[in-house]
Amino acid sequence: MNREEELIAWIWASNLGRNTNKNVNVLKNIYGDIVTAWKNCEKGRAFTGMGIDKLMLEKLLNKENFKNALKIFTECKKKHLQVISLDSEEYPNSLRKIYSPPSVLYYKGNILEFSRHINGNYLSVVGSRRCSSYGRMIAFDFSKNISRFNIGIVSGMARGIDSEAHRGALWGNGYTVAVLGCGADVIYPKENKKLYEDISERGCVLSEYPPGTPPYKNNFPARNRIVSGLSSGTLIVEAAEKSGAMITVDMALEQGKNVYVIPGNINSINSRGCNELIKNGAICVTDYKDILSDYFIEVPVKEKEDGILNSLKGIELEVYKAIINGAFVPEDIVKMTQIHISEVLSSLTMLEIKGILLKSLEGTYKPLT
Amino acid sequence: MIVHVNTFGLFGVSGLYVDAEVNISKGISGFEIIGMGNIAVKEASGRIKAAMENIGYKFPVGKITVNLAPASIRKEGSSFDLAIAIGILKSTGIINRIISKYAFIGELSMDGYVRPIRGVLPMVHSAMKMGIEKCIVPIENAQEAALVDKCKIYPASSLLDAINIINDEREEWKNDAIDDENVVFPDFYDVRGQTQAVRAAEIAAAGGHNILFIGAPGCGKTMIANRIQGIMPELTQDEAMEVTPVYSVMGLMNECKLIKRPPFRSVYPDVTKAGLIGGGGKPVPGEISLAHNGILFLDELAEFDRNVIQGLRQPMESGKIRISRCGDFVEFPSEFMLVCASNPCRCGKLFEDGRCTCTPLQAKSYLSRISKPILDRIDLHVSVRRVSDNYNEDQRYTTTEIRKRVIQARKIQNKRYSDKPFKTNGRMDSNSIARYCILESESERILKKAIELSQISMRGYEKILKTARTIADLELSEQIKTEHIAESIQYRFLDNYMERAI
Repeated sequence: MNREEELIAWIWASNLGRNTNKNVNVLKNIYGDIVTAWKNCEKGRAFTGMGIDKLMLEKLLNKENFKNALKIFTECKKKHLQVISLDSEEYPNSLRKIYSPPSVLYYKGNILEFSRHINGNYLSVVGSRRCSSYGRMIAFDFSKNISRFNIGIVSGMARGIDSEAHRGALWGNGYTVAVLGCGADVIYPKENKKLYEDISERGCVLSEYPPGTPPYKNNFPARNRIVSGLSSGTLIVEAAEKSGAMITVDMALEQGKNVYVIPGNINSINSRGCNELIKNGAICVTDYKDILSDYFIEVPVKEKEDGILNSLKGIELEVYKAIINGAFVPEDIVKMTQIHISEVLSSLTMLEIKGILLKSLEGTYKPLT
Repeated sequence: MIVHVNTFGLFGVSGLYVDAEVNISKGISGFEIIGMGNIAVKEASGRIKAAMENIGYKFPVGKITVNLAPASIRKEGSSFDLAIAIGILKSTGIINRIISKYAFIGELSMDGYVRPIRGVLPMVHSAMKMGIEKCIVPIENAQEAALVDKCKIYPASSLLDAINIINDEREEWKNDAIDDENVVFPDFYDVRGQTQAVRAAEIAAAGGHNILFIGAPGCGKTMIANRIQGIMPELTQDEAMEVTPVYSVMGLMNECKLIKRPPFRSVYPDVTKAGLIGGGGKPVPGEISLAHNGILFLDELAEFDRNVIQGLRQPMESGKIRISRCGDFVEFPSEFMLVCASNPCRCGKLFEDGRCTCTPLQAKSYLSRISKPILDRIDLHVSVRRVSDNYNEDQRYTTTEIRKRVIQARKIQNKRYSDKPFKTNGRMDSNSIARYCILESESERILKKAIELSQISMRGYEKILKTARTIADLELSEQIKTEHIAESIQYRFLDNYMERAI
């Protein structure tokens, strides 16, 4: 069995209709394996019965479908995408176990990492696209800290929480997987071009959709089952009541995975989903170490900010303390510390230059621990 | 024999001296006014003849020719009526006193009364500068005319009155109106919680820096901009005499007082180019001239027509605007401090955590609509956020307190630039920056690092130095210290944003 042949056959089989798993199982049942199914169908040797109805028969014999599968495979080569099937060795074990695992996965980057983490040490991080600076900061920090312990961070590379999660993992030199709702070669949203490139290089970008597939709205809920399926736990950072992130959480619960929730501002619509989950008994976390203990990792309790606190003095120290206590903008700091605005502003500049604070595009500050 | 009468017209916003030469010769009766007068000037002949006859004087027989010298400069308006009439009366011997020490300004109504005109202030100012000691002006313009020192004003209600003034050698008129300088400006104390924006406004006023406020609708940008006028120092006599004539010429002098407070002009995106810069068929000063020595406020900067904004470049460069018409040109003064306000993006909520409905591309492209050449002249960028209810009470200052500090800083600058053509840090040229903004090595290091971190751009570099100079002046520090530079870097929001936003 030629490896290429096998993959093309699987691509063909996965594009025969909506219920891919059922189709694949039926074919395996009748023909033994997918390559044999392909070879027979090509020669017209397919009949109704044993799970194949008239509609299915038409598709099996349709020459266009064979051509299409070949086209997709060639396209993958052109776009430097790898392909694996359910039968491949590299297929993530954790994904095999979900209700309807994707038959074929297209990816860019390093999927072997999956087999390294055979215990399924992945955490997915999800949240809303329209999030606050607080949410962004949490997603970034948690991912950064957790990825340091060899736990891969899985997310959807969407705007907002997803992107920050990926960035946090990359910053901590950890491993991250982006599961896309479009072809693995399609960069969506456009402004994540650099992020996409970084993840392809140092992590893995994957999709169950053939290359070139646009980010259709309907793809995203399906994509979410992969996000929760790959990981052994899901962290939801900030989500409104009826958001995509909540769908991922539902799937995680169905799959029997742990769900961790970050509490949010009770006045903010963006946090209502999370806060409701907590009210309904989800695990509320306020420190990344809370999650690590579930992955059987003990972290020495050391305040990482100690080093910084010791190196600062005077007004810079007060300003830094205000930031780690939740101040985001100069106005907050003035209110908290009563320090004159001109001194607050010059301290912020100095702290940024010293690499202690990071300023966002919109002018909010967060500590760079 | 020719009679000469001193009178004045306008050239732009300055008085134009005109020598009305009156000649009556034998020949067929006629009354001609020459000297490139416009229609109003030519029609004066009808007004003057009627006025004279209606007060009982017989209009002379003969060919009357009046030349308004200098003959090759265009004359406009009706301010010469009175002078010409006086000239004719002198010619016929009805007036037999010397009239050369007077200047005559005013329009005549057909029944012999003297009507008020616009632009009396610059005219009388020019008279004073030329050494003419006495001016006979319309009664309604007397208060305005009296604003000029060293010139005696004689208000005339009618042609007859004017004749009596000359013949009787009357006393000069004294302006006994009470000058109550009790104008109340909106106070900075009313502004709640926007400590950074208020601080930036103080720096802008102290150093004459152009400033841009960026923030959501309703967060207080306009409120703060409106209050900047109150913290500016009063105009000097010279500065007042530069800008008051503009108001006089436009007929906008509500109370005949010299404009002492720097003017504040608000402009919105629906303004036309001519309305903003000046122009029109007969060139008329625009908002930039009405804002001379004061503040021009552009609200919703990103919504302005690019073409209109382009017109600001020349005046911001040279401090005046030159408008050409048929080979002639007129200059109006236009030296102003620019205050601008803008939304950060189309929906306005970029700074309101997570509520912005624009895509990042839409957000960046909104601010990109601001004309680059104008942005390049703005020293301070401040992002303004909505204030929550529990704002900081303590760091609020009253307008009076802030103005005191501003005046102190201005004093330092006046001394520093005593021999320069500019008087504020905001107007420093590159050479002055190199001379007066010398930094310690630590400050240089910080600036370099800030550029590396894309906090500021190269274009922002000089602006940061100028701003730091003002911050140091506000703290009465001769040397620019590290903390002044560090604070100054915080006012370059757009450098950072445009650099990092994709």
